[in-house]
Amino acid sequence: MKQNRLNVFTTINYFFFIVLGITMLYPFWYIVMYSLSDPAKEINLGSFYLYPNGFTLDAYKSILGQTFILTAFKNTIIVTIVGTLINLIMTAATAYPLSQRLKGKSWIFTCILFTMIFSGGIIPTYIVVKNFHLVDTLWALMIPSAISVYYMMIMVKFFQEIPVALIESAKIDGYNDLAILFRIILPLSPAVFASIGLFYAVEHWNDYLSGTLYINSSEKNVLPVILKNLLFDESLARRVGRTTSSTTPQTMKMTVVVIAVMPILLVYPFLQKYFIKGIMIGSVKG
Amino acid sequence: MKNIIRDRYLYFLLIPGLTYFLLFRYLPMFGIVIAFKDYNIFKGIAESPWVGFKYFAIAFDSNDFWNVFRNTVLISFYKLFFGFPAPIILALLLNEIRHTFFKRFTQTIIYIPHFISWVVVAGIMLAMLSPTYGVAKTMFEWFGVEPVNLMASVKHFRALLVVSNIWKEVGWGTIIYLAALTTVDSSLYEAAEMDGASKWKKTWHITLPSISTIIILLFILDIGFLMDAGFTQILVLQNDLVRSVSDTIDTYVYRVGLQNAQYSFTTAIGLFNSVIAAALMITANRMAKFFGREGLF
Repeated sequence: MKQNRLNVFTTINYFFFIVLGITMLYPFWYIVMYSLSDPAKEINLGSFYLYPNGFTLDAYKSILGQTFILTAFKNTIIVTIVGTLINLIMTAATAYPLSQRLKGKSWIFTCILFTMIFSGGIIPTYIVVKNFHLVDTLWALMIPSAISVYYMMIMVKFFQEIPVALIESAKIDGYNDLAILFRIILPLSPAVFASIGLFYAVEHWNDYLSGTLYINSSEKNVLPVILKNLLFDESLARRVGRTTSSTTPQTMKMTVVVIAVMPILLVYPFLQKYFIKGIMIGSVKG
Repeated sequence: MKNIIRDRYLYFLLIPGLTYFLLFRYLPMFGIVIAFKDYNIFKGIAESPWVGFKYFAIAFDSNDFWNVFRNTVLISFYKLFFGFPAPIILALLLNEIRHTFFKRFTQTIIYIPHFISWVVVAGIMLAMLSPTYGVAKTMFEWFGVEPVNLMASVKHFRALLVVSNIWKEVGWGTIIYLAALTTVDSSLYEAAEMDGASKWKKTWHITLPSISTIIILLFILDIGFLMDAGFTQILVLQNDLVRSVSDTIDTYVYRVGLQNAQYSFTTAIGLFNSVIAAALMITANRMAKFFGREGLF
């Protein structure tokens, strides 16, 4: 009796997760197939796009030849790489002292944590950025978001786990705090830097908000902003869209979507263990 | 003083970070005063005249504001109601899967959507839900219904927001709960097994109480962020046709504040928003402590 109930439950469970997995993956498959299809084929209207119908690379050729896309791509790469570097340096520099014994530490913690509860708001933050002359520069996409309190706390937790004995003996050997940081702490930390670095990098790559908020010149635009405009501004899509007979605004849109999401999808399988590590450090208490 | 000299390098390392927090987190807080002034960009914050609660009064009197407030609360509530239990249930179900490879493979797949941007999700939705070009057309035909553009439909848009949010984030939450589930003491299960407990009883009396701390913690965080009903998501997905049901405080402030340059008015609304969010978070935290659990702070 119990065996049977267990088997039914187990089978349904496995089946459920297979369906769920398909639900998560199919949309990506759909847009890739869509971008590779020839829209002139009638059959494509309302199709499930399980395979490209009328395989054509025209959309990609056309998109990759457009300057505004390439510029946005370049800008996004710059912001992601430089931005993440800034994030890691700033976050680590702040996290390390807070993981050691320090006078006034809890006061500093309170001030920092407070920013998680209360913030100035979009308008005042924009005014501050404007007064620092950062508006319409790529710096506005990297500096106002330099430190995330959440990720910083993960780093603090990680640094706290490093055996005190190691640090103590280094101090006896005459190392000062900076030497300890560079010779002991950092060499032990590639895991947390990889995890947090990836989190920050993904946020930069996907950041639509900062881009729309702070950038006005078209040559400084980033990919998420360009993509959003292309998706929702029909006249722009049409201008970009009908460059050959095998492309329409719709396939062009999908091509840009694929270009925007491909780097993450490709890199993800190799790096996902770092993402998991990051969550583990952050969420398992004590 | 002696301590400061001894730890001088540590304090030195803190300088960039603290400067950042001062300039980009605390300084804007001072900028909030423009909610009480008639902010004029040319005069700057200091020279703009004080007007007290004028803009708050205008806000509380305007239909726009209450509409937007209602949207914010409703959308957040729907997301919480449907979206909060989902990862917990999934984690419990996934925990029952014995086949390690299947378990890990599924985990990997279900949290891919968390790492893509809302703009990409918007693109996917636009393509699939298009009543003329997308898969939706075929699905409508199967059900014998007239194709409708769901993304422009006032009746369906909020549901779209909730469902797409779940699709995107449920995997992420599941990983966190799964991690918590691994810390549950297996001897408790063995003892229950010997007492003849059913799977359901085990779940209710052992599993759930063991992860109750993290459930409450995450719930507090969600309540704290109630007033943020998904800024980027809505900003990207919404259009003029559905604004009446999807405009939240944040998107309203963004549009009317920055694009229509009504700085003081929208800062007042933004301040109202921030204060409520802070109050919610502190209350939720207090309540967690009241029930004997650790809070967030």
